[in-house]
Amino acid sequence: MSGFYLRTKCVAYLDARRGRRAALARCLLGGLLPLLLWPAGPASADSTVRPYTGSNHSNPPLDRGQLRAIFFVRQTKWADGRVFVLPDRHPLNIRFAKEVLGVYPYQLRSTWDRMVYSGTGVPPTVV
Amino acid sequence: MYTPIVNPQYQSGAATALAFALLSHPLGARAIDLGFGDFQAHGFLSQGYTYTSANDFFGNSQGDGSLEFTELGLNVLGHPFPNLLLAAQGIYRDTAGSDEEDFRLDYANIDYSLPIGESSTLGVRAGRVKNPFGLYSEARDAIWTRPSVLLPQSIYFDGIGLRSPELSSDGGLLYGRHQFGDHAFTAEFLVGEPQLQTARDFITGFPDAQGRFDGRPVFIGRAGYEWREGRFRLLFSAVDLDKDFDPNSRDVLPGNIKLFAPWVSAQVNLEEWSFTAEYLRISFDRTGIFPALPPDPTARNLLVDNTSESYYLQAQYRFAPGWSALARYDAFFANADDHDGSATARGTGLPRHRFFAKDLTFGLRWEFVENWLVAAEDHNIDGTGWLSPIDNPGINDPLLARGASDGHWDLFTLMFSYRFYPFVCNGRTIHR
Repeated sequence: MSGFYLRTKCVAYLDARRGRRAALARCLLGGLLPLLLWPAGPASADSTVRPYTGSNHSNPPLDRGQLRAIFFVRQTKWADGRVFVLPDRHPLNIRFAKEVLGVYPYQLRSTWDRMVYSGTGVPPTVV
Repeated sequence: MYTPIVNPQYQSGAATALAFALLSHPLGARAIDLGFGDFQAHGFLSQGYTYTSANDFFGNSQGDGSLEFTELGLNVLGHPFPNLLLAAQGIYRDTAGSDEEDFRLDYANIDYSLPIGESSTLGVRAGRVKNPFGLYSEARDAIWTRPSVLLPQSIYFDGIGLRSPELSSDGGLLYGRHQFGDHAFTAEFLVGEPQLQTARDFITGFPDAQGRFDGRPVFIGRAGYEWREGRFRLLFSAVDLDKDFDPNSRDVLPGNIKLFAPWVSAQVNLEEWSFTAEYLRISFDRTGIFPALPPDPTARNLLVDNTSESYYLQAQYRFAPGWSALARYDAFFANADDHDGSATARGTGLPRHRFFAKDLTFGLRWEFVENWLVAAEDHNIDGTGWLSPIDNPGINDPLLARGASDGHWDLFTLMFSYRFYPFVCNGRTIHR
């Protein structure tokens, strides 16, 4: 299972306290095996939204510029990596866009739609 | 430190996911090894209804209205290798006389991008690529990327021949982006052959001109600045065309057409409001082609050496989740030096309103379920400048035009659309 996880780099995000279940349920329904493993520890005490990159221990934290490059699909250099997001109107998606990326959720959606219908990029997978 | 999920509420979901993953794992693993992990397919189906109080738009829209407004699209895109993108989209579109092409290959391109350091990207795209100009041009046939059912017709022409060359070109495009903090500069440059054949009348200025275009490819460029991924953006685009026309019939003389079109776009995106403005001028310089020219200098210049002017101002208000309202003023002037069309009308014998169109639009849009939307809008229009001469026969004939068109008219349009995302994810298909 961990081998599968390592090859499927997953960038999702969660509210450490309140939104975890919702995010998790959606990931599970989407068949995303790596999220079966979940960090539990002091970090779960805060309620900030942060990206989930598989493990807090093996991946360095990403800064805002890197996260924007990932979620606006300018960085695609992971051969076997996927970016997962929640549906547009999910409260976590809205908080993540505003608090972490510093953009409005509709900016993400409009960038992804333009990519799809103009053939210029592959948007993140909605789970 | 890691705790497996034990919440009973999700156990059945976990079990299903696990079973699904195990079943598909061999296929999934092979797909990952081949690097075909992120290929996706998307599609949309849109059906519109159009009613006009006078004149016809997208079919016989007077009386009971017209349903000849259908847009279907299907695309596949993905990365066979990390920086290499393959993408193709087929479109079926029917808007009565102004689009009878039915099925067409909208884009089919291969794209390679190379990161330069931490903050810059350079890339090249080749094949049938979408033309890089303005704000809405590249994905204009999917209502999901349009602000309204109809894009501002002064710039994104749907009724007249300029539509098809605006869409895509067969050729290559270089692009670059440099980012520092919240700021980014972007640039694109395309060399290619746009789809001129269906726009022969518009490009040559000669009705029903048969023949072919020769000469160098068309250049299209776009450069821009954006702040915070488009909270504010400013774009400059330009099209430069220089073609010789080789006619098939003796009615038309061989000739040359030069077209230059500068285009400025600006957009501010706030949390609930978006404000957008675009300004476009299209200058034609034609030699040859016409065996005889009208004696009136204004009418002659309309064919030989003319500049049109287009602009719009638009506000969008997202007042509730899934809902947005739109207000727009959109203006087109066939001759930038004759806004009221009077001089051109005198010279051509056509009514004044053929040479401008001022469109005040109010619209409402509701995404009532995820991936379903309905949008409606009312256009109050003064002028007939962008009407289709195919849907409105006689409007370019001085003897018939006054009976065949009405300068003051309303257009109401309504569109339903559904889009689907059957994600192909490591060999598993997740239908949404």
